[in-house]
Amino acid sequence: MIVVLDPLPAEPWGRQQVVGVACADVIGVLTVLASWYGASGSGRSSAQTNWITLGVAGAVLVAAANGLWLLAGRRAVVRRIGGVVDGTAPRLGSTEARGFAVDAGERLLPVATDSMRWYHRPDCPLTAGKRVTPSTVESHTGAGRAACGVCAP
Amino acid sequence: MTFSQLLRAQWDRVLGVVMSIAGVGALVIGWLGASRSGFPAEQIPYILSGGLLGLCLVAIGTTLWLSADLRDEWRKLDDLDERLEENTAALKGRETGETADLRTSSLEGDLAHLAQVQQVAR
Repeated sequence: MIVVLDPLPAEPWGRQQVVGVACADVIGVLTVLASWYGASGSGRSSAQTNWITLGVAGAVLVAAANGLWLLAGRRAVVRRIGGVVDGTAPRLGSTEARGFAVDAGERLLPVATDSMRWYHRPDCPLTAGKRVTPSTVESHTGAGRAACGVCAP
Repeated sequence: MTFSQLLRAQWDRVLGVVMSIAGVGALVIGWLGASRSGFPAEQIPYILSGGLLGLCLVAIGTTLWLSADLRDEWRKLDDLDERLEENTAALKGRETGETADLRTSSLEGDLAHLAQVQQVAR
């Protein structure tokens, strides 16, 4: 089964996240300004308590929105790094779409020739130009092969 | 690089620095204003305008700067992804007997860079 994924965005955040954090920041800052305006018009500290609460709420909104924004960005970057490491970055499509054999769990099947002592990832440079056959790890180990130290399948 | 080029290329970092400086300025002004008055009712507006607004501006400025760092990492991964794709295509070309130039030295560089990126991400 070939899985066609959406194209990657140009940055770690989607449009909705950009709009969301911008709105939260604007609302938060406006809330702080409103609390300042409200507190300035009152001469008694007891009457200013509610305005302080409102101001703190605005500041908390800004902090939470920016914190979540950074967290989402960092998660997207880490996920992308994982994709590149696995050689299954979303831009390339699924592993099957790249022409490599995969098992039922969409994991790459390691490859080897009959005479090889090690089994490899299909994109390992050590298999380049060789007539390799994909198979499960169990069958490779059953045939007396060990995992390649270069590509670490 | 001229200032206008810097603004275009690094607008998020420039804006982040400007907002952080404005935030620190607001904090200082708020502190000066509050310290000149002995009445809490006069000090609270300074706390709200200088203190909370200053903190918000510093938070937004810091976020802009860190977002720029994450965007840089994203672009580097774009480049890395592209190179790996080229190398994969070259390897597949070899399998099918087509002449393809495997950028081995580039691949080694990519993997070294990827290790650095992973370290930063952790």
